[in-house]
Amino acid sequence: MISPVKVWRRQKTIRDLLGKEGSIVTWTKIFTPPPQFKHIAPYTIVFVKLENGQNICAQLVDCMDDSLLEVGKKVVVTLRKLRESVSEDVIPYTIACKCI
Amino acid sequence: MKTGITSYGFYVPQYRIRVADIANVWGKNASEIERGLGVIEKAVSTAAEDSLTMAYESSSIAMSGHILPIGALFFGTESPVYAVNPSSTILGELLDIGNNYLAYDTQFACKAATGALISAIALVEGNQIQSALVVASDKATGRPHDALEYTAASGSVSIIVGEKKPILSIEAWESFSSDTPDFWRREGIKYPSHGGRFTGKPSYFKHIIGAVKAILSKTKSKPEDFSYAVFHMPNGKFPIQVAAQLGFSSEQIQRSLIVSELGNSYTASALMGLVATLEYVKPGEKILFASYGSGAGSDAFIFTATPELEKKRLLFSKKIQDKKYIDYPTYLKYMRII
Amino acid sequence: MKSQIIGYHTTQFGELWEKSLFDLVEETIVGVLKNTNLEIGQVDALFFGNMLGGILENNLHAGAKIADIFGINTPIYRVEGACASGGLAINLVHEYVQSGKGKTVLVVGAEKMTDVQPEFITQGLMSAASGEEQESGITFPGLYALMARVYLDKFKYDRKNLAAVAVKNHAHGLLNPTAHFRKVITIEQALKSSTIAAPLGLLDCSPVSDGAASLIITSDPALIKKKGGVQILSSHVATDSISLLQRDSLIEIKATQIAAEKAFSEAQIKRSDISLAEVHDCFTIAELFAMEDIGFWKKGEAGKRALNYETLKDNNGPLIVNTSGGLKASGHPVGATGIKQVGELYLQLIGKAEKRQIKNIKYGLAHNVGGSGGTAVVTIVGI
Repeated sequence: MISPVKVWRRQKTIRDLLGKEGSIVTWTKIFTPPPQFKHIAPYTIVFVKLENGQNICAQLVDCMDDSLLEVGKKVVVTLRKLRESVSEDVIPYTIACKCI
Repeated sequence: MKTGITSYGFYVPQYRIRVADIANVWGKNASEIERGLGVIEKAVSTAAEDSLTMAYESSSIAMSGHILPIGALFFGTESPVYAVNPSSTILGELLDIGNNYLAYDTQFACKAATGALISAIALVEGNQIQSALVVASDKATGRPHDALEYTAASGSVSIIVGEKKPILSIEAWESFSSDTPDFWRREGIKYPSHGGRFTGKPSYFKHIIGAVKAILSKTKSKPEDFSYAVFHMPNGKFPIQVAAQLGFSSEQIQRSLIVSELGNSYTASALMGLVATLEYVKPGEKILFASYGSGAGSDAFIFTATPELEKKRLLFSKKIQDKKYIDYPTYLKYMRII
Repeated sequence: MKSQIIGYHTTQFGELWEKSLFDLVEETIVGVLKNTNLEIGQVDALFFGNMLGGILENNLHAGAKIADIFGINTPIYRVEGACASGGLAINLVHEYVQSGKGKTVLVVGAEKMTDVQPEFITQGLMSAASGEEQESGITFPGLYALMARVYLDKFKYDRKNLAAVAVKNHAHGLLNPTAHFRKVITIEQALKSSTIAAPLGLLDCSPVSDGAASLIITSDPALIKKKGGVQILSSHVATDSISLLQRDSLIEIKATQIAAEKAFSEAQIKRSDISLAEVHDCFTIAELFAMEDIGFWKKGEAGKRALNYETLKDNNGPLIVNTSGGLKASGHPVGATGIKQVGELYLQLIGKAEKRQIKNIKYGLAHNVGGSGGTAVVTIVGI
């Protein structure tokens, strides 16, 4: 069971990252996911340096073609629901990156 | 009325599934289905998306550049992420609009958001709040092998209602309601049910015609007074038929008929048709708009475009060409059916 | 005061269905006492290195569990540092013995990883990473893959430079009877193996294994005179951010650099004095980083040197690495690895490494890392 209090605390950090732009530093594609991410596997994870200098690690969504991935490609932070919660849990929304 | 729409945003997911690819799975005649429904493909959101994430996408566009405080946030959907828990507050928090607002979740099949729009207008017109955000968002699911499987789609539209520098002024509204069980879903049941052909004449047509006739009468207008008309689009046929029955021409509704490429995004459907139309509307032109929600009701509005529209117009037709086709198993994976 | 290793025991590493975590702990403690000809009553304290016992066994009181098994009242300390738990435990024992708190101490490391499906292990191992990393759905292979991509791009290497590490470690594993994998692999097999986290494939990743190992370390001059053994010359720990997001560089592990520098400084020997090392190859890229971060090779050289098999036993070079088979071939029962690494150096230095024996070694180095580099332990031993 995911703690609703932890989701609530985390939400504010997520909010502050939404809409921020950055560029890809490195990436990988996961084929052996942990159980809570099986339903969306395989997925690409990007390590991004945001404009404000902060680094983030997030799934890359809606990127049509893996071959378009390259160091320096610009992305923006958006909202997605990635972690599969038990059907009774509070939903843990999180950040993801989209190519721009 | 002094109130109008001051800004808008939309979100259509990138992925599409062709009606033909669904038909082939069930051994149906693809071209017969395409012709019968007037739909060729529909928009599909991924397993990482739901009505809330799509609402965030469309509302962050609408909110961009909006400075007035949001006094009310209305969230209209029929695919809420919780059975009990507001989505309006989650969205409000993510958009960072503070705490001094009315958060309001609403459902009424495909017209949840337009009903909320009427409430928003009333609050702004009465000067009780400075601006309101109305969000329509759905990740609609159809039961596999059911007719709705071809049209149930994903999308979101957000509208900000206010008095300052509207892009569309709102001239009038009317609502027509009755108890008509054409489409419903019981608690705990995964897929909605519907009355087949009962969803036509006694439902969709009766209520849209009822609302539109009332608004035309109230404002002493005729179909010819409008440059554009937008009707709710459960499929590609109904809006064309209801337009004809009401005396609107095919030219008037042409720009709005996005259902053939995007499917029916339920609460966002008619509003998406409005967004598609706004790409072409010129200042001074009038739009007649009517939504439909099963159960049943229709909300009709008359909008007039202002010169502000030129500054805030969003490109739509090119954006929705940015798409990728998926196959049926991927569609089932994205819809969490497998 | 000396801190001398006088005994070592390891269980088989692999899929040990019949044995539970504490069965393995019991087996290796009994084994090391037998090998050293000591009774448990002669041990002043026990240290236990383990990572996943809390999550998988619902046990966070291992000391009492071990006391239960042996009917003792000896002080027992559980040590946690993700994959560096074993090395960290040895480091603490070294400090404990040197401080005079106890004369003869038993250190055991163990892990039981095959009782649950691999995806739950993947999830459990992510407890060594930050919350943000966990939330993104990344896995440990993924974290090292992120680093591997930057390294390969920067120094213009490709996957073959990584595969060569696995090929070498399997060649060594073939000679180690307690290794998880005792068969040779080729570069082609490694390149073709299924992708785990691009660009890393199955054969770039150490396996999920069960196993336990233990050492007896003493400062007792009488015991040292009787048993001989191998002295711990220095052992140092350094930490860095748990998250890759906070690191200064993605192509090195700073914690290793700091711990190694301190270890060499205290032992007063040079990198070139080390002819045998057990380094932390949780993924092939990790061994390349290890060789550069410890200071054996210059930054960027490791890919080329690995492809030349410079550290393969049969090439008789000045420095042989991972004769145990490394984590890749001998297996990686997380808490046991750090112990096994020092145990392998011990066997080699006292001439008991059988088919893996390297000649004329005076000093050995063990390198154990936690997570993606949040903890590193470097231990130098000598005869």
